[in-house]
Amino acid sequence: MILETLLVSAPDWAIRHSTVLIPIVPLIVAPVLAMSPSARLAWVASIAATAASLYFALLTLAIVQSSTGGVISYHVGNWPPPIGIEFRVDALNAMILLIVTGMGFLASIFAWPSVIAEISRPKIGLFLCAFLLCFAGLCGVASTGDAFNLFVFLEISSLSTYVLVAMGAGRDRRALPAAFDYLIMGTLGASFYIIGVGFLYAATGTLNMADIAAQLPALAGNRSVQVGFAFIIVGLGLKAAMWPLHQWLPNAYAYSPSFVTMFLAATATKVALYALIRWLFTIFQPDFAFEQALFTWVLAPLGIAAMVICSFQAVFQTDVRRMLAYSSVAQVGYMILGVSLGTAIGVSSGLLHLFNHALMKGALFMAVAGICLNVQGTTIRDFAGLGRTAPFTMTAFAIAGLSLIGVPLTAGFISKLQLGYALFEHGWWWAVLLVVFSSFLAVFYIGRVLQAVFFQAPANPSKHRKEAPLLLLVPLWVLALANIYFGIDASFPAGLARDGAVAALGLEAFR
Amino acid sequence: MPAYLASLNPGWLLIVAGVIALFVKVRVVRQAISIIAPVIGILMLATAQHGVDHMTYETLGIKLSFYRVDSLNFLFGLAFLIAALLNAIYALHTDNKTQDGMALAYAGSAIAATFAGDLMTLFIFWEITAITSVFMVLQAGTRASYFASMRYLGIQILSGVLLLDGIAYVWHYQGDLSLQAFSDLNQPGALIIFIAFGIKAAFPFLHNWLQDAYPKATVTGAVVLSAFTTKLAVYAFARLFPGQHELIWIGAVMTCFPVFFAVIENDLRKVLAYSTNNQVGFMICAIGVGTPLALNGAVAHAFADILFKGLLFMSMGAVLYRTGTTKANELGGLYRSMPWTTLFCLVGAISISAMPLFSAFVTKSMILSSVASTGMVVVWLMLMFASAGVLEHSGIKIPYFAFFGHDSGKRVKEAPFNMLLAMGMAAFLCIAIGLPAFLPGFGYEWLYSLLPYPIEAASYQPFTLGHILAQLQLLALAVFAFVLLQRLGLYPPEKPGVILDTDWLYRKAGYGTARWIDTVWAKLGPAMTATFRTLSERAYDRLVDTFSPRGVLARNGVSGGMAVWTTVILGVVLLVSYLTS
Amino acid sequence: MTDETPTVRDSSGRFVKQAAETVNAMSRTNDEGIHPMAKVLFGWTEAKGIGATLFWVMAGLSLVLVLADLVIHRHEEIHFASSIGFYGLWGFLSFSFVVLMGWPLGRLLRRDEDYYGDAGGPPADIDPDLDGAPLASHGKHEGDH
Repeated sequence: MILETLLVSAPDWAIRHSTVLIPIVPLIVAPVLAMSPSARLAWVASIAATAASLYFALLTLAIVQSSTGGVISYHVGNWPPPIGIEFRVDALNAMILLIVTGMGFLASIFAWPSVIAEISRPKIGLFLCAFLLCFAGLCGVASTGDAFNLFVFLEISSLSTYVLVAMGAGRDRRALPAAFDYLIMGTLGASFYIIGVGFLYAATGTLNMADIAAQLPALAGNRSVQVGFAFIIVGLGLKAAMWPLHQWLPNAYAYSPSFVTMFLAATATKVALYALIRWLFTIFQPDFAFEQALFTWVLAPLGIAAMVICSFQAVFQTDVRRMLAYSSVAQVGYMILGVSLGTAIGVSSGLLHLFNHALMKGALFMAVAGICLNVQGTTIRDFAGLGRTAPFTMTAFAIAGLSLIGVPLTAGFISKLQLGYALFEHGWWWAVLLVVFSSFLAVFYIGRVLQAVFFQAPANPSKHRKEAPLLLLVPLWVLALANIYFGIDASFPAGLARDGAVAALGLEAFR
Repeated sequence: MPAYLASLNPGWLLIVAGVIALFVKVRVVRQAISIIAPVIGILMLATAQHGVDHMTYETLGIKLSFYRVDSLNFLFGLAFLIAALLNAIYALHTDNKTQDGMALAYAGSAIAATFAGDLMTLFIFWEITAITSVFMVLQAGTRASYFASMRYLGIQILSGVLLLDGIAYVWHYQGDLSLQAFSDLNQPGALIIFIAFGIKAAFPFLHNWLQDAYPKATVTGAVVLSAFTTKLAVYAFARLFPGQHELIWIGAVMTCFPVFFAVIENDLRKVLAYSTNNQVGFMICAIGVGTPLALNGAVAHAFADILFKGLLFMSMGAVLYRTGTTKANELGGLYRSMPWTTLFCLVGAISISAMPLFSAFVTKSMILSSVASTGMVVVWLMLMFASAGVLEHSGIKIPYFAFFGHDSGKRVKEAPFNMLLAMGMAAFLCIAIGLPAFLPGFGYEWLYSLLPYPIEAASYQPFTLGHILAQLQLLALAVFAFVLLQRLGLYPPEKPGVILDTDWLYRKAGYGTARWIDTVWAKLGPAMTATFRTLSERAYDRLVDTFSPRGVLARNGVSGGMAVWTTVILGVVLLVSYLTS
Repeated sequence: MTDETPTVRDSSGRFVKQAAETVNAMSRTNDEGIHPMAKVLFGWTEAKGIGATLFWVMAGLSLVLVLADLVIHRHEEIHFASSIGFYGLWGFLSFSFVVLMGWPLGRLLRRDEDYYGDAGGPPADIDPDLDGAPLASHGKHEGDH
């Protein structure tokens, strides 16, 4: 309903160009920020840019939902594909774009208190510039319909992410090696991806995704297609932190500025996962024999390994951010498990969890960012007694934590339930048990923090309150309440995920 | 009663009141909330229409029904509400926001689960009882209670996730989550749900969370805990597994084995925890029999048990409150200081022993008759044996070692008035429902008229000469055995100590194994990494020797390991796609 | 407050009803810590030779009840239960068996009180007036390494 109003009230040019404006606006604003004389001005501009992107993303979603085909194809520079670059948005992209821009917008609001505390003032303009570039890159990945263009946007986002992670050095020197590791691994992933695209180009002679998809059935059994496929899967898997290619993630999340952690956790791996789904389902077809085998023998075991092993690792972490980072890898495992079913309901449960995970990890890391403002260190010991000194921050943390566990009436419960149904329908009841088991582990790692927060005496008691500033509390509570709201009425995200799955697999998959 | 209240689940009212109470700093207001909420709840329940889905909601294709009263769950809900009221009065002397609020929310979620009209709703409140109840243990504030509460929470949550698993099965195969009884355990999901319920009902070998956690709870917390969790499980069994013959044997074993533990246990609250096991066993056994008489007996006994077990826990709570201990070897002779508490404890003890004119007599005799009419002699003898056992640990041991016996010399004040009031009310109810119907509709007839099968209940006569004589013989000779053994000095003295039970498996053996694996892992992990590293480094060194000056990329931290992994995964993916095309 | 109720002035100078005074006296423990109601309710347990009396009373009662079986015919579903004194015998045997099993079982299963680590003292909400009541224990516990 809101979307319809948006569509009616939007000017004509916005409707025509909305798809491409999502990444372009931040891309144009970013260099301006780098030159901005005032840090505060740069911050306001970054909010404006992300808000604009969010607006266009919503508009795109509205167009996609109202149009009959459900696909927007935008030809950059009026060069028609397959020669020109095409921006192609269907229900799947629209959902991802909504997540990225929404989380980007919320992140940029709370950027000010967090960044001012962790980054030296002259660098703030540059920092926000890097943030906007990263944001633009992620939006670009999620909207382009061109395989090579996707690589370009992926690199834009990755390169700026390395910078962002390295900026954490002001707080913790270990951010530098973390950024370096991330750089090496990220580059490796991107190279694998571009190698794979190269193989496919050699076989098909085109870079447009839809065009590749159209040509592939004729090339069944072609070795270079298979090699290209393998490289692309591994490259994107690395970017999506698919176990065991996740090892860049814990350090990058733990040592980067807390603002960056929050933004990356809520968006970066999601976008890579989106690209993976796009390649697995739209470009290659799940009925290719080698893809079925890949689902059963590679993706599903890796997804399960991720959710069990990384949940275990999370239990034994002492640093809250590292714990949440390992939990993120485990959650990616859930999504990959859902996707690996290869069925419409499986993909839709993976997408739903992707959406919900963005909400809960966003809230969790945002709460941690709020704590970082006042407390040195993020070990569980540092969190002791914070329930009393920072009740609002920690209550939101608790809500998101419960959602992460999958407690009923929270969003996490809905998506795990959905995943359970999907697994049952596929006959993988043993996997349901493992999902339950890993949720059980989540009770422990989240419970450990909550116990310290609410039931232990503060480590160093002091009178003054440690509540996070309002600029942080507002977006934090928006996310926390969203976790509850979508746990009670899940029709919006479930509808998005369903439409996304339909877009990826084709409508007949739901019949 | 306004219409919107009459169709609201009273459990929800209690949960909301409990959440509000959590934040009310003014003690009087909070306590008023805790007392008024159950009273309103009782009124709401009394006016609720039976057999109607009052609150329904549909999400993700599942129809949820939040409030459905019928003859089976009415009495459970009523007992829970009465228990909530008594608990609130019993806790009046305390000033603890968390405990007051959580106790109310715990009672509320148990009630809400009782009146749930579908499995999913049952599950949701099932889990909330687990989470809210853990505070009853946690608030004791000792380290032992902290660890016990974490074990408790783990097991309770395990029960919840098993239930959810079972529900998923049912949903998948039947597409319908309404509360229909399972005809046998081979039905999809039935066994998992059975085990989930079994954990909460503290089945043999799944029972130990109860003995572990309840005695470590706070004074008031143990009273609160005694009422809800196990009885909710009894209700769930009566709802979903009536007449499931496995339950007969499980119940029979459940009545017998705690008797032995209770004899040697020193902590009197732990004795009561074993006694809870034993009483729930009677109910489970009756549900297994599944005839109208048996189900009537199970429900009635659950109602009575909530009252007399609550009363016994209250009296032990009063002792603990005044003396700081419930260890039998440290107590004795307290009747001199706490005569009222002694009196109420004796009422509870006599009630649980099923003395004629007290509550358990009119409820347990239904169970025993129904078991006898199945012709299962061994089960019946086990139940009779357990009846004598109840008399031993709850009827004699509890009051004797706390209030009489060897005088410990402890001279304390009588329990606070609010405790006495709560105990008095519970004692009154224990007697009231055990009396013969001197006036039609009063005494036991009141209870019988509310049972699931009122017509069958009306035709059952507990006060026949034969019943009374049999029960009196059993009790009198058992008491005589006690007096005799005491005189002969054969009664085992109370000694301090911990009694091993199945919790040894996870508290000693399991914990030890975990520690052992941890140690082994700590040693093995680096060794394995080192081996792997030497192997990969050897290969790597060769490459370096061949292609590049040594030392350029020698620092392989995370990246090095991960590069290997990336290659491995690439190889696997390639292999898979080659093999299958 | 009606005029019929005679009021007295107690030592602290407050007016209390006579009835309330009595109740108060009956609920106030004396200097030896003995509650006045204790005498009323359970004074008999302190009588001399109460043990022997109880023994003979119970023995007599048991005998009477068993003999009552000769007069009263019980309807039993299980046939052997209708034999004379069956319930009494079963109750006696069960009770004795349970109690006597306490000896070997105690030896088998009883361990030191700190077997699982420090038991941790009483809960936090016991009577605050109790001497040394809420102890914060710092002993070794099973959760400690």
